[in-house]
Amino acid sequence: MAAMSAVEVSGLRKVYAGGIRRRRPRKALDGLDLVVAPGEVHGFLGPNGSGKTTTLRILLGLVRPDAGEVRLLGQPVPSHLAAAVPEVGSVVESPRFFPSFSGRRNLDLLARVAGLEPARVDEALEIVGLTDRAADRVKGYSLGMRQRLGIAQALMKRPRLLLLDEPTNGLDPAGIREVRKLMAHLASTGVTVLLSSHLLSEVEQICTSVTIVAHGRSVRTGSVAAVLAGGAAARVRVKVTDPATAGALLAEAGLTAAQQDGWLMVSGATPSDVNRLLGERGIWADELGPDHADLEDVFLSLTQEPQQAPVPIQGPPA
Amino acid sequence: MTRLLNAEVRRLTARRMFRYLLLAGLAVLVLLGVLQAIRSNRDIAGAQARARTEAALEASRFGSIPPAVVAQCKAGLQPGAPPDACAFHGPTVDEIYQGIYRDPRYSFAEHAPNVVVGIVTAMSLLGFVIGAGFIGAEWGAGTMASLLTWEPRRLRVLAAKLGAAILVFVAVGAVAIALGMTGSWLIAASRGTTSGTTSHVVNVMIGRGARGLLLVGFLTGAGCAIAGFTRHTVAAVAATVGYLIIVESILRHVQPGWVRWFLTTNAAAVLAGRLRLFLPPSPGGSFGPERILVLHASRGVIYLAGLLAALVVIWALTFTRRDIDEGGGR
Repeated sequence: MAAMSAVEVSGLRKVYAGGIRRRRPRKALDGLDLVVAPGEVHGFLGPNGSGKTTTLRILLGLVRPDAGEVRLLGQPVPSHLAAAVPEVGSVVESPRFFPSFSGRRNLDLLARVAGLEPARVDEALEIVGLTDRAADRVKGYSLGMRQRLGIAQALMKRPRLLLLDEPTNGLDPAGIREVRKLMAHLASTGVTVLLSSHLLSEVEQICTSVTIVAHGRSVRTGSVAAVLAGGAAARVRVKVTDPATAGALLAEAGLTAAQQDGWLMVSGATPSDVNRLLGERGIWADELGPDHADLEDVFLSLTQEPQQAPVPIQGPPA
Repeated sequence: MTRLLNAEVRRLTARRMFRYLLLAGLAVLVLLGVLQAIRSNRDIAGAQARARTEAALEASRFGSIPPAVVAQCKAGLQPGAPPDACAFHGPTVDEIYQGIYRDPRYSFAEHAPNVVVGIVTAMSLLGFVIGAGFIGAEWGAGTMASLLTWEPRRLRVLAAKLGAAILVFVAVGAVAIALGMTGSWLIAASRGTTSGTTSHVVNVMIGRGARGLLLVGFLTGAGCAIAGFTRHTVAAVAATVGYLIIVESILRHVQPGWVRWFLTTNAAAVLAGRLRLFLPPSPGGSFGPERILVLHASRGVIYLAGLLAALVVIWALTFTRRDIDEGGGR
């Protein structure tokens, strides 16, 4: 029997009604699917307005979906969310606290809601490095300190699942590194993390799997390696003496080839396919190999065009 | 639920607005007590002498009716009029004395019921404003989203917040009334008089205090509920002030018969126990005697309970159905 998913979302739809401030209804989610397996650090990538935060808000019961099914740690949301919440820590957008209360008091009040022992507050403050400033009022905190306090409140529950929305937002480089190390540590202890971020390098470094969303839909999902291999990365870099002739030849074979910085970039075939095609016509490559695209290339290729569906890799012409 | 209630009570009592206003209220209470103690005077003989002097002076004014006025009166008398018809008899010194003499001592029986009214009125206003601030601040700071990620059952959250505010203000009100009564007794015992404190007076004060605490609870709950569905402290206070100014003040003159349905009228009936309203003549004729309507405390309690229930239902409907928008708040 397969292990229960930490997060399961299918066919999620949400339209924000128009109002006085927002004149026209806005479609935020348009049939989004998302699955996060236990123990994964799952990146949730998408451009602004693609529906990431709305999805997290729906997972936490803050926003009601118009359609779709949501399960958190196996519990249907929102009907049985209360059963899952004790094991779910979250930071959604900029963490909000009472500005005139100290950081410790803010956490203490939340800990009391869940009946946590006071030691958890100190423990969480220690983890995020805020022990020395815990007695200060939150209104005197920097954005980064508030972010760390938000992470502390999420960690107080010792959660099985962490939902983090841009957790490194506002942090200085040292803080970003600390948070990334913390996430890696949590992942090593079996905590599942769903990380919404626009920092592609962050997702590439930390996450084991990723879902890319655009226009309220998931456009690519899988392990980071698979997404990199199956997206814009499926290109071959070829260096030949006569790139124009080689390009025309490959185009005749139905491949897309373009010159870039002295290289011929070929899409739609594997390196061995390209090598064979060129060799059969007597053109020998000086250099040839896969083009290692990064997540940014994949992300941009998937999210720039609206409603773009996943593109299967074409095989070589028969 | 108990944990949630406990957390909300702590949050409310930790607020600076709550602490400062409570301290200010206590300071005012002490100041008024000191002023009453200073004003209380046990020199009864001196007060009586001053009153008698004043009464004599007043009586002499009545006694010195100008002869011309008396002559004019006699000239106008009809035949058969009593012989002393123009003998102007003003009130006697004793009669005037009885009218103006006030015991200079602070009297517990006389003043303590008013102390209860003053404390209840102040606590009701504080309860409304701080209750509204308690809920409105949650939306203003955007912390509602954080709280709901710890306790997603919104009706429980609502009940805990409402319960905490009412509980705290009723408890503080009870302590304030007890302090006021104790202070009043101490002033009376040390610098005034406790005579006349019959069981009836004590019962009146206990009844007024108990009904006053109900009023504090209602208004605190109303403040929370209005801020709950407007999601704004200022909006809640402004809506209430607007109601008092626009609806009550204007309608009081335009439709005096509707006074019985006003919030302030029913609140006054709860506090007083029994309120007599003097209404204009019945519709259909502008002449005739004034109508007198007696409002009992029970009617006021039902009115206020119904009002609070309606406000809480609106709060619950909006709270459970509306999304918690970006920013964690409104």
